[in-house]
Amino acid sequence: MKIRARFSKAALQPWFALMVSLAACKGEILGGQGSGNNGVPTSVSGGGADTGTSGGAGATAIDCQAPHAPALHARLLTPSQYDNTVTDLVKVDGDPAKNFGGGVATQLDDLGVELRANAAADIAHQAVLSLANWSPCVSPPADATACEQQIIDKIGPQVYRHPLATDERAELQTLFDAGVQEKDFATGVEWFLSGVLQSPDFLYQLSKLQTAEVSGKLVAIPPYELASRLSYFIWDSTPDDALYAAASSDALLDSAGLQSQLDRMLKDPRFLRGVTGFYTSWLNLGGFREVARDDPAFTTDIASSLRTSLLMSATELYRGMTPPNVSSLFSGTSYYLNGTLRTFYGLPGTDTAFSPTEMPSEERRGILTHPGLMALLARPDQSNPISRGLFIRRTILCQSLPPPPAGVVIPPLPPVAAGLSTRDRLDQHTKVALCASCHDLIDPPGFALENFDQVGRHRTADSGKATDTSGTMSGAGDLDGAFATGGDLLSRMAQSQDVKACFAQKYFEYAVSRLAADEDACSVDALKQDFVPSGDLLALVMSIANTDSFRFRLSEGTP
Amino acid sequence: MKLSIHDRLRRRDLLQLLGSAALALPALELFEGAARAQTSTTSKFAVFIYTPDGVNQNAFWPTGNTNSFQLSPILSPFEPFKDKILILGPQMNGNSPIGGTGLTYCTGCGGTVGADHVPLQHQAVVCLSGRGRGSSGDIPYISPQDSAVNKLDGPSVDTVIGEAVKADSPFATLNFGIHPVGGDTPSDINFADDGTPLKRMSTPDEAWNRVFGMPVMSQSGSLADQHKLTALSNYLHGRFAGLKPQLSAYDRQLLDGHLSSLRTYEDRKSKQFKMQTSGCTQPTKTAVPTDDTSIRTGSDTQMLAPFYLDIISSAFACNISKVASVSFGYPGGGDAGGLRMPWLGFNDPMHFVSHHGADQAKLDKYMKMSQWIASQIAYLMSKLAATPDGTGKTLLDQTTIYWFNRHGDGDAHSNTNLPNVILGGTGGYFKMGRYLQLPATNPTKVLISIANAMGVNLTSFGKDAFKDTAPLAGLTG
Repeated sequence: MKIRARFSKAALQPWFALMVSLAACKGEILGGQGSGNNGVPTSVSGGGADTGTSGGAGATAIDCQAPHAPALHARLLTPSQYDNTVTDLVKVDGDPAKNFGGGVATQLDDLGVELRANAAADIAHQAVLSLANWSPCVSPPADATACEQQIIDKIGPQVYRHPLATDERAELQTLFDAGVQEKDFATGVEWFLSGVLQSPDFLYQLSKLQTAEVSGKLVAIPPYELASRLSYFIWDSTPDDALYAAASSDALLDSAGLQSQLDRMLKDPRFLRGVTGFYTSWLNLGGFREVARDDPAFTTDIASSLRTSLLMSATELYRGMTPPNVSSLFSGTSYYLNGTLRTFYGLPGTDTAFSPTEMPSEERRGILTHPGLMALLARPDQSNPISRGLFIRRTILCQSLPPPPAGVVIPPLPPVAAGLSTRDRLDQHTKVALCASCHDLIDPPGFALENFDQVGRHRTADSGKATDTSGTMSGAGDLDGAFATGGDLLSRMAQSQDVKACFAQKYFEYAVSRLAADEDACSVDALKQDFVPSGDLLALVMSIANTDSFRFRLSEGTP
Repeated sequence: MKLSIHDRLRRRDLLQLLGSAALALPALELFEGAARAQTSTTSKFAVFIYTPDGVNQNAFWPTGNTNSFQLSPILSPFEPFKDKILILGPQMNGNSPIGGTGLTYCTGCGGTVGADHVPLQHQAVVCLSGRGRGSSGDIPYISPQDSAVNKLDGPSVDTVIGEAVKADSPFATLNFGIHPVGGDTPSDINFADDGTPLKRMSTPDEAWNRVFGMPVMSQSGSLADQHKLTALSNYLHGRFAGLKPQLSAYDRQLLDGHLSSLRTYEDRKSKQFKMQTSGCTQPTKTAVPTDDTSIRTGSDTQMLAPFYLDIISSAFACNISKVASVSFGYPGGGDAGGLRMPWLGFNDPMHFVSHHGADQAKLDKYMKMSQWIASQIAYLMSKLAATPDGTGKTLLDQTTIYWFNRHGDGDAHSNTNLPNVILGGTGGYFKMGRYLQLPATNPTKVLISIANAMGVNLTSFGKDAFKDTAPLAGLTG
């Protein structure tokens, strides 16, 4: 199955960082420890185009005794969700959504509509050719009329993700009949599938109005909508029959019923898809499709192997017998390497398949020093402490940082030369006060990783000079303080409460497909309370599904 | 119904047009009716070419004076077209541009901050919309996952022009993007009438099928396709109508936008498209490599750019659209990916070399990348120059190309000394073949000028500090 990044490369694009103050970085980092808001102005709550910012500090205090949740708007299926759903429903593969592009909350333009129309037509065509794989009845059916009913009754509710109302069913019948009328039963199936795969019922997760909704009041998300929300979060795909049955019996509305389904869903093989979805986003695995390095040995095979290996660092934790824990993510010296990668990194072993391979002498510390991640966060011919530092700040510590201040003449960097390490060349950042105000925050975590070059190899020298991975963290919660080596900092990160708290927030944001809003603060704080002491990755998923933010929405009233 | 002598396509032309698709001759019957196909004498065309990340300012500006100038290294590919270039330059101090002159976003703002403490120079400027993001009163930019929030309050100028001059072309605008892998995230260049960011075509297949996949070329029989389209349309419109009362105000608006896009798509699909004949040929589809390594290294861009430009030229010749845009890469672009040109001998993304730090090696790469883009625009110009427009002129005579950038010097993310250039015959509207040295000038003026050149009378465009109400004086002579 092709794995793709769902979100943009925003984590690696300083340009897109939204800032609140540029006067100085110190004291202006938002988010991180204790905050339910990562400091970036939030969106989607309140309806309509948001023009204001709702910064973390200074927001009105929320009383967490009462439940809170933001408004919930229609969300497009992401490309991987679309692909997985199509595979599950009609057993058609091939990544039909590969060019849909990102944007869960996008308003579709004519090109977006066209891409989905073309995909629907292709899928329908293939599904008709392989009817036996998914249809309750085969073609040519002995009784075409009866088979038509069976297909509508099975697939209709599955693509709409709820039982069909009478008029909804009638519309589907009309469409199917028109195709049969045009030519034959197979054409009926084809038109039916082409249509439903383009329907808004299918393409969006929708929140439908309850009777007499009152603006500002919390509404419990009803069972079928909750079922979709759960399955797209946990399985990255459509609900199954058992989940629909739980929805139908209202079992999802009480905590025992919900828990029973969560237990089942996390044990299901489809859970790996949801896990893959999260880590693909968190690690920006899509970047591997475009990573070029000057080293001629860094081939497409290496790049795609590194991508697989990096993902496996996370997903394999979920396959073992022990409950997966976040501390395993940030520690360990063993990575899943295949033959290609073992050769590339000069490691022993004859196994061509991916298998655990030790890199102990290299002071590796889990995923943050994974050779693939180090290669991703680099330039073609040198490491990139700035992008690595920003990754730590944004992705690992949930902090936002502004781009360089306006009107500043950025001092010239010395070019790559013998005797000048990457770190040396960036020294201006610390020497010039204006630069240092932000770069004292960004650079140190990047420098901590300077023992890993632009293709992820370990090194102790850079341009002939010994690498220096010491530094001082500030504005970093429980990571503050000096570190003698990168390994020291990384070990601290593996124990850090702030790192765990941010991880919980990132997973939450993935689950709700948006940045944490003010109204999520109670839910996110509760999550952090649960997750930080335990680090239990399965419990995290369940906790998210149990939050008010996940199970409720704020009504915007009935128009 | 037989074709008249004037609009009968020769079989040879038709097969060339349809390429390898073996189509039975009866399809000729689709070319019915009067010879609509000729481009009207007033048809003009516009192409908007966006590059991010500024330019090497030392290698961009010409030397000499207004009417007698020598092209710089970056502009050197336009040597054959010196009479069809209008350079909108800054005032110069010797060989260096004077900061704050020439096309400058937010003249007089430099260094100051807006109400939300965002320095106006560092706002994301929405280049074809005369707006900034992040200034007070404007919509902040959220990462693409929430892109509905990134709606503006109106169209970009290419959309305004495209809608106005569309006539019976199937597309108001054709927007292409190099090099967003995995499908485009909505544009910060192109915006629909209601301010929705527009996607760009991002793969060769997608572009070719969209532009040339007209019903007239369908192999499966047009009548069955029409019936299918009708049945699907009835069903889908029923769904939108059925859902609407069940949705919040926000979601109704979202789905209304989707429905509107669906209607645009259906309208286009349902029309029997009558092709322009003069010069209308179809580019070869298979030229662009799409293997993983070509994409990974960015080497596909070398083929992708001329392929898209070929499509644009053909689209104009075939009356498929009159306005197009190409975005070369994305602003920023991060470390993995972004605009790369490995055939020039290096792997660095544009963004990296744009942060040159006065390093001569990087400045050299920076210059070469911009120069290559110039060579592609020159390629487009040569294609347009070789294509008759059906009235005795060439497409180039009637085309206005606007090559524009978000920054002047990418290293400092500066918003002054923008390296923007008008190219083409512009339908005789602008006085071409000149190098202007302008004082501080609002780039929105140029957008108004170009709209006017295309016959669209804009009296005002843009917002807040970027707003303007007049074209740029001195462009027409």
